[in-house]
Amino acid sequence: MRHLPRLVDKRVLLPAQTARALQLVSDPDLLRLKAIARIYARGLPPAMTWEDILQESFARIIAGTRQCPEGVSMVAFVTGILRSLRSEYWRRFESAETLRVKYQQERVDLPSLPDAAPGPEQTVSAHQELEIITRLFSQDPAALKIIRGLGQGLTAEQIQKTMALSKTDYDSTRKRMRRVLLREGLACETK
Amino acid sequence: MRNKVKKVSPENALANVLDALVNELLDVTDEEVLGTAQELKMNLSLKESAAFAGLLYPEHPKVGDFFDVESRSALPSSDRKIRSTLH
Repeated sequence: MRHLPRLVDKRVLLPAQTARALQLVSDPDLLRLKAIARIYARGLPPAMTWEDILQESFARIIAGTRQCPEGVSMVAFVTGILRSLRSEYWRRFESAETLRVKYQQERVDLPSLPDAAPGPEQTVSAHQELEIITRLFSQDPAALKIIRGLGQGLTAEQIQKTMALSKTDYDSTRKRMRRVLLREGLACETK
Repeated sequence: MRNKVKKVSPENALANVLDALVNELLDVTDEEVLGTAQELKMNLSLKESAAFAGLLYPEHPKVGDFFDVESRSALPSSDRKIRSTLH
């Protein structure tokens, strides 16, 4: 008998299997997710917190709207959801704003399509968050160079070349940066 | 010769930086995570540890954590109820 190729080449876990895998996440992975959610919450629309996007990602996994491919770690899977939620929230926030402003200005009932370009609020928020991240590493000039390079979308080799950093300097700076990120990610927010 | 520096919008720059920082955290070992929690004097054997704030219990309690705010707001206000009984 001839074997036909599968129509979907990636196998995914069933929602119940994914939910079970989520329950079995280890403590270090849970803390890693907390630190990652805190990073992705930077520059989110107003009133959105890291808890909101993390809980939303868990809710989507349990509801089965997000399917985890087989062999992908739960941390990597949740990280992917967090990343997409970040842009989704901005899209939703800005389309709501666009419709509201259009209605107020033109008094037209017909909704217009939202502009795909980032709005002024997102630009201001991005500026502010970049400043906060820069301040986080203000004591470490090498880390600031790496942040600048990362912002420009440079690769590790390009950063080393452009910012005149040796490979050893680059690696040790990354280690220091990880420590700062972990401390920042695990510490409690004062409110 | 220096590489040409590209002009990147703040939104893209932030997205690039965040993705790179998240990748750093994905590479962190379990020992590093546990070591940092210890440095911060967090006891991971307790479920109510500050490390799990926002994960196993809310970091900042909200009214909605204790009361069913949505159902409550759907109910007619007591003021309106009193007025309707008077008329």
